[in-house]
Amino acid sequence: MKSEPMLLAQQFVNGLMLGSIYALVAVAFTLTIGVLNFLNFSIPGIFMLGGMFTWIFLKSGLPLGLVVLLALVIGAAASLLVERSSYRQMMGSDHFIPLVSSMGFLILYENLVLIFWGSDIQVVNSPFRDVSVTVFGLIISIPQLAGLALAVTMAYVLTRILYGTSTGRGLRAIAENPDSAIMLGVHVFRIVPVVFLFSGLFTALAGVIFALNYTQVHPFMGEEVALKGISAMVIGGMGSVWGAIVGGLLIGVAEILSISSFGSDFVDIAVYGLLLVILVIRPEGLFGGSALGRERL
Amino acid sequence: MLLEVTDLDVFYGRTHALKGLNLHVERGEIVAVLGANGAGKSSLLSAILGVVPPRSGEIRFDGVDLSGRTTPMRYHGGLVLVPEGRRIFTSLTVAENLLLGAHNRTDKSEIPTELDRICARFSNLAERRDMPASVLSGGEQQMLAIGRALMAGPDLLMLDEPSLGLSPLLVKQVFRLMQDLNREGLTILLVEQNTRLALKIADRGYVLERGAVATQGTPGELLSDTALHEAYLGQSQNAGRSGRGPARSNNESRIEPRERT
Repeated sequence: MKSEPMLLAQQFVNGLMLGSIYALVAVAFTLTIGVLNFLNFSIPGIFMLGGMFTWIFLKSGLPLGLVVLLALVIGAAASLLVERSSYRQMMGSDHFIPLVSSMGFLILYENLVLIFWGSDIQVVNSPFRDVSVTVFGLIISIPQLAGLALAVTMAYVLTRILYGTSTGRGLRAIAENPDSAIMLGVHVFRIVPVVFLFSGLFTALAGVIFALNYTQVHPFMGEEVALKGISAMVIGGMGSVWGAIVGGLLIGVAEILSISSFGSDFVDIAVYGLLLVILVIRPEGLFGGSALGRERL
Repeated sequence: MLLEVTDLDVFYGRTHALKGLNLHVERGEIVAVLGANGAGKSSLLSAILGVVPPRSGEIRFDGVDLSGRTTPMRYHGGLVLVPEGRRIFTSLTVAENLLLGAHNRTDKSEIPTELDRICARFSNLAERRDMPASVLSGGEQQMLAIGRALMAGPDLLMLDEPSLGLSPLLVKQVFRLMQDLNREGLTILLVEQNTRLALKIADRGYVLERGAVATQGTPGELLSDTALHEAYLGQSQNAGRSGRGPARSNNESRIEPRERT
């Protein structure tokens, strides 16, 4: 039996681990909204594809490394398909048109999976189910730890790309003013797919980690996670990569702590209450000052 | 001939922005494109850069037909714009804005040298290299926009209203810079409403009116041509019917930049 403070610390760690999944999804949303001013509703579908294909490939007996790789490739491909067949065609049109069309992709992806694999909740035979390390008496599961480490690493890589490469400069120029960027010869059609590629990879990775960690997947698993991802993005200050990470972790901790303190009925109150409080105190979000595309708002 | 525009027709929706426009620029020239707001000057630059596809007509650069080439390809080929209103990216640093200009260069190893060269030319920018471009004054932003364009390694530098919003002193600086660049061998296509100043540095000029060339010639020819006054004020049709208003004379000193609302 653990002592009270240890229990709290354990819950906090669990919250961070869950939060890293929200953080990855939040970064995916941040990229498309910060750079392209486009709320990409296909993201919950890509999250689900990451999770479902982890289950499907594991069930077929592939080694874990290959499972993760394939699931990420499928997620990235699904995201690029949205770019190619929807966003690119509608770039010049009103904001809501790509938004609605991306929602169409969400419905398409969910129902394709539904047709082939049914709507039941599937149990993932995760090789990590009982693998964990104990640090200072805190139990940390391996996929959770990997998830947190990957979220932070990918956010770091992403900021290095944004602030240290020619593609990143182009991205930030598009984020600030797409018309100017086009007029100045920035390779918009080469850079926009990069945004979708990254957002697809982040989202699919979140889905893979979710599947390995919480071992339950179904065709509609992405929707709730995406709502929390959007909340995390807003808390972080729309358009800030690190803000999205912090926002995701905050929501994860708030969710787990509210479950352990008040029971699972209080999760939504805690999570969206946190969102509300932060918006009241700091309407621009925690890191709103350094956000991508801030100048346009 | 470096740039050759033949029978160019451009539409914005149903607006016929350019109507069979013809224009050419020889290597080493400064060519001024004049005309009132809405005469088609910016549409011309957009079409040359491929931002707006022409309905018909041909644009040849260095002898090559540009149709089917994207804007980045045209930049890579040496067609470079300093846009109206400068369009500096304020969320990027001064150096990043300059580097953005080199976005389409393939000789990546040349870029640091080029950056040093530009910084040597614009000491104001060099001092603020790593600051966000938002700290720059209007004049410095114009210099940054020109510096960014030079980073692309232009063969033809196109400037859209570079004098807009600048004090007379700064305007002079910008125009002197254009002359210097031209002496160094750069070909310049200058779109300006400041007619007199533009004609001072230009080798030839075109006056656009309602999307077509109304007059063209050397600065001397244009300044002595009454049609310039009419086209520039954008009311030749009215003028033809009702004569010129009493406030307007043929006196050349009366030509002043004039915003039409």
